[in-house]
Order: sequence, then C-alpha cells, then structure tokens
Amino acid sequence: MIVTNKKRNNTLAYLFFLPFGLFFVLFKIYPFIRSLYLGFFKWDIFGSPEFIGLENFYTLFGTDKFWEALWHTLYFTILTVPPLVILGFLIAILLNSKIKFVGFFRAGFYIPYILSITVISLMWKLMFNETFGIVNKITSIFGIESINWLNDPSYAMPAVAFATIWWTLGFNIILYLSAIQQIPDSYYEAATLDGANSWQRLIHITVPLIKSTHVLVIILQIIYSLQIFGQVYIMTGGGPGGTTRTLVQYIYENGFKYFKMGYAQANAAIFFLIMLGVAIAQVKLMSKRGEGY
Amino acid sequence: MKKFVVLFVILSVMFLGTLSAKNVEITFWTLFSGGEGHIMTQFVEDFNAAHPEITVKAQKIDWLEYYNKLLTGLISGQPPDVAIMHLSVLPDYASKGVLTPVKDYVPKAFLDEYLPNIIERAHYDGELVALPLDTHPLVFYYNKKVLESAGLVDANGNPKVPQTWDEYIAWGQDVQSATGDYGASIDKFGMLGERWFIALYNQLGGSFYNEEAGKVIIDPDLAEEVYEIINVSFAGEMTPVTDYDGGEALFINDKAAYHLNGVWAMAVYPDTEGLDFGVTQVPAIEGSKPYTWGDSHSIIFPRSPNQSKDKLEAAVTFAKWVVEHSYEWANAGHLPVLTDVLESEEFLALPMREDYLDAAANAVLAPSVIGWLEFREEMWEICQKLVIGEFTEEEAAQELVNKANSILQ
Repeated sequence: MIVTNKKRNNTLAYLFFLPFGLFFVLFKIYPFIRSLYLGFFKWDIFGSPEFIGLENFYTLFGTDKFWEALWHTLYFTILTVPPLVILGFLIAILLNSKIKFVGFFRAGFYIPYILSITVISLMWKLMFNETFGIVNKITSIFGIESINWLNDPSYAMPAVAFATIWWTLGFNIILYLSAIQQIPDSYYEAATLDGANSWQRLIHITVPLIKSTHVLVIILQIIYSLQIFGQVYIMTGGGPGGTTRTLVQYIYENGFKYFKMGYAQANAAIFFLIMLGVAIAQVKLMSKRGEGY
Repeated sequence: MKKFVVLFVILSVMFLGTLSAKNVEITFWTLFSGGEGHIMTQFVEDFNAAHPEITVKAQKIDWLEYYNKLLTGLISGQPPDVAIMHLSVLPDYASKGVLTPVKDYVPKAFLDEYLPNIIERAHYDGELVALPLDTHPLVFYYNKKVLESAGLVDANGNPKVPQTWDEYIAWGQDVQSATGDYGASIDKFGMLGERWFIALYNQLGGSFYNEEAGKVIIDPDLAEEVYEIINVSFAGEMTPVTDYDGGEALFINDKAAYHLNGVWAMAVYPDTEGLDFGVTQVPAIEGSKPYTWGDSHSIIFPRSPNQSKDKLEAAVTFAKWVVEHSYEWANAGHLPVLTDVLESEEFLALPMREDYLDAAANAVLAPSVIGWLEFREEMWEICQKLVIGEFTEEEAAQELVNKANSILQ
C-alpha cells in the first residue's frame, strides 16, 4: 500500500515538474548542449557548420583579447564583490536596528535595484561626464582636479564598479535583512544578560548564525559580477582602447557582430567552466552548514 | 437574352474588379527613429495612398536591435520583403547570399542618375543588390560663439573656418588658450578611428582597396602620418577623449569650437536653442580634395523561401519611389545620391545644405570587403589606444596593418 502511494506521489511530482521541465529542457538544456557542440565547428550563422576540432580553443587561448577580457572580468569581480557583500551586511544591520524612518531607508536602498540596466548606466554615464557631470562638480569642491572618469583606463572600470554597487546593493541588503530577522531575539537577550556588548553580540551571534546567507550572497555575487556586460557596454562601450571589455562582451561581439558563432561558443564553454567552478564551490560550502536556532 | 447580357456584364465587372484590386502586400523593416522615423512613416503612407495595388507594411525596429533582428529573420527564412542596410556592412551580408540581385527590375536610366562613388558600393560580385537612399558623410561643424569669444574672426567679422588640418590644429589651440575651452570635439568610437581616419588617409593619397591584389592593403607609413595628425590634435587636451553624446554636448554648450560629426546632426543642430553654428566640408591636406568618410542607407531585398516575382517587383517599385523622393529624406540631414535630386529646388531650399552638399561626391565609402564589421571596430580601438597614450603612432599603424591582414578577406 505504501509503495503504491509513493509511486503515485512520484508521478504527481513529475506531472508538476513537467510544465517547467519542458521549457527548461527546450530553452536551457538543449541550447546549452548545442552550444558546447558548436564550439568545435567553424560557423558563420548562415552556412552549414564545418567541423574543425579544437581549433577554436587554440585560437582563443592564443588571442590576447580573450585573456584581457578574462582579466577585466575578474578585475570587475574583485572590485565589486567585497564592497557589495560587506556593505550589504553592515547596512542590513543598521536597517534592522530601531532607528527612525527605517521604512524610508529600507525602500531607499532597494529602489535603485528596481531600475533597468539601461537607465542606471545612462544616468551614471551622465554623472561621470568630465565637463558636465555631477561627480566632478562634487570632487572639485575638495580641490580635486576634474577626472575624465569613463575615458581614462585607470578610472573607467572602477567607475562602472561604483555604479554597479549603487545599483545592486539593495538586493544583498534584503537577503541579509531577512536572514538577520530570523535570529530569535532571545539569543540577544540572553547574551545581554550575560554582559555582552553590541559588538560582541554582532560577532558572536549575528555573524555565525547567518553563515549560510554569507555563502549564498558571496556566491551569487561572484556569479552576477562575472556576468558583467550591460553596464560596461553602455557606459564605456568596452573602451577606452578595449580596457573595459569583459568576457560576455567578447562573446557577444564575436557571435552576433562578426558572425564567428563557433568561436563565440568555444569562448562561452570556457566561461561556463569558470561559472561551474564557482557553483561547485557553493554546493560544497552550503552543504557544510551547521546552524540551527 | 437580356438576362444573359446583364449576367455577363456583372460577371465581367466582378472579374475585372478582382483583377484591379489585386493587391500585393510587402513588409518593410526600418531602423529609423525620431525625425528620420517620422519622415519614413510619412513616405510609407504617401506611397500607399498613391499606389492602390501595393500595400507597404512598415515595422520600426530600435537601431540597437536592428541588425540582430534582421539576422534572425534571414536565418529563420522570415525576413521582410524590403529592409534598410548600411552599404558599409553590405559585403558581409551579400557574401552569404542573402540579398536578391535586382538589376533586371530597375531601369538603367534610373541607375545612371546615381553618384558613381555611391552606386558602385551597392554592387557585390558584379550584382546590384541594393538601392542607395542617401549618403551621410563626415562633415565639419564650427561654433560661431566660441570662435568669436576666442577672437578667431577675419577682417569682416566672420568666424575663421579652417581649410587645412594645420589651420584646424593651430586655431583649435588658439581657442583653447584664449577661452580655456576645447578646440575641438569628436566621438572616440567610429568618428575618430574609422571615419576621420578614412578621410585623412584618402586625403594623403591612400586608398584601402588594392585592385591588383584584390584586397585591402594598408600603407603603414600613410597610416602613421594619419595617426600623427590625430595625435597632435589631442595633445595638451585640445581635443578631449569623449564619446558621441559627450562630444556633442561640448559643441552644443559652447565648450568646443570645432566638431567633427556626420550630416545626420543637421536633423538636430538647426533647431537646438542657443546654438549658433556653421557647417561645411572637412578641412583637407594641402593639395588634396576634402575627401571624407561616408556611408549610405540603402534599400535591400532579402532573399526568402516564399519570395515571389510580384512581391519583388512591388518592393523595387517602393524602393525606387522612396529614392526619387529623397529630397524629403534630406530633412534629416542626409545628402541625396541622385544627381537630379541633389540639384532639385526642394533639396536646395533646405537651410545650409549648399554649405556641405559637395561632401556627397567627396565621400569615400568603406571598401567592399568581407570582415569590415569586425575590422572597423579594431580601427576604433587602435585609435583610442593611440589617444590615451597606450600606442605610439608607429605601433598603432603596425597594429592596423596586422588587423587588416588577419581579418579582411
């Protein structure tokens, strides 16, 4: 009796999975496999693909632009992940305390995240403008000479990173805030009775109890940052002199602008391996969770 | 008998009726928005009103999306019957066999009206695959207010407009030292590394396409000379590194005296409040004609599995009509490419057009080679590396030659 029930449950589960599963296979799994497969072909989109073995990969590894794009992508990730995680956590703690207008602040930090990528990129492009932008107007008050933010190789990527932090910080704050709010108040009360000050409560209660959220936020943030494309493409166009071109942009340009589909697919496969590495790290770290209230 | 006659008449009228109402519907994709989009929409409406036998259905696609969408349409076998394509990218598409040759559908007299430098590029492999609608060359804008406040006026009080690049640089530096503003502004992408480069390279006597070799051969010495001129104009921040919007903002807001931009800016500048400007052909190397870069919107007829002779004929009829009415199109700043339209009263009545109409004949279009789409972006990048100091002139020239050899076929 129990066995049949289990069987029926399974069938039901598969039925529920079917609508999503169908689209997932059709639009994610199939294109993914086909993309890997096409990485071994020379294909200009219009004609029929021609098998060339590993040549795309040889070309890729021998191309400076690929390595530069990979470095720019990592550079952006290094610039954005630590501030987004640390600031996200600290602001979440502030927004969890009993300050005035807390609703206003919570909304304020989240609102930028609602805006579309085009809007925030164009907005920051204007603000970073050398002659008319507000950023230089503000820095000039402190006597700093005006900087051509988006057209100077040393400032372009940090400027894009800054805009991105402003844009997406709200999402991490929400994740942290919801995690922090799940910690029972009794823990803090007990600690206070034992004479723990607020710093000790933060370090010994809050931080360890939301360990899985840290892992989640860090991994998600690394994955998001590695996929950087839109902000750079709109704000700098990959310039000046290709110094902000990222991997996704390189894939896009080769595939859709220069009709080098096979080459772009090979590049995408390498990109996938990098992401896979990050995802595996996430699974490993998450499975070691040991928290319970 | 009478009944039969009546029936016969009714039947024949019905038959004739269906014949004359035979309506061909064609689809048309455009990438135009703003002023250009408005004119194109009007074209389609007017054409449909004047041609009851043809219905053109236009679809406007955002220009950033346009070529991606066209590509998808072509691959999936569902392209429009008529579409717009820049002549500079034509070889990259024509070489894939996706454009229909139309020479047999267009009268020779019509083709003879075209400027020769333009219609030549509408051919691929000897086949006519597009009907050019306009040319939009790089031209030279000057801000009268800035020049006056810098004291750069001649004896008659007219602003000094450079005829040579030496004057351009010398006077630009004068503006900078007199006002603290910029001497000139130019977009750092296509305008700088591709368009200005092509103008200078041709003025120096160079030419990209080598007939004998049947491919593009770039002379490294000439390229280096071009890069020297560009570098000097950026030295000491006479020209800032900026993108299109930034460069335009400097010119419009009286922060730059000279401005290199395409003629399409004429759709905007005359109506820009507070802007007092002039427009003319680009300066020239001494002893050369003021050759300039130009591209052209052309009308193409994508190949599709269900293409019929009727539809193709209707499509060409529409395209020809639009080109013949391109004096309207010239409102957007573009220059017509049919000689009789260039000389027409309607065109010459538009403001300031006479100041730059010669640029149409001096326009040099991208060479008819596969790979231009990729190569031109390398040109942009190399020149950016030059002006931010990552490349010397010699390195930039060498890199350009290398890229031409590895990319262009």
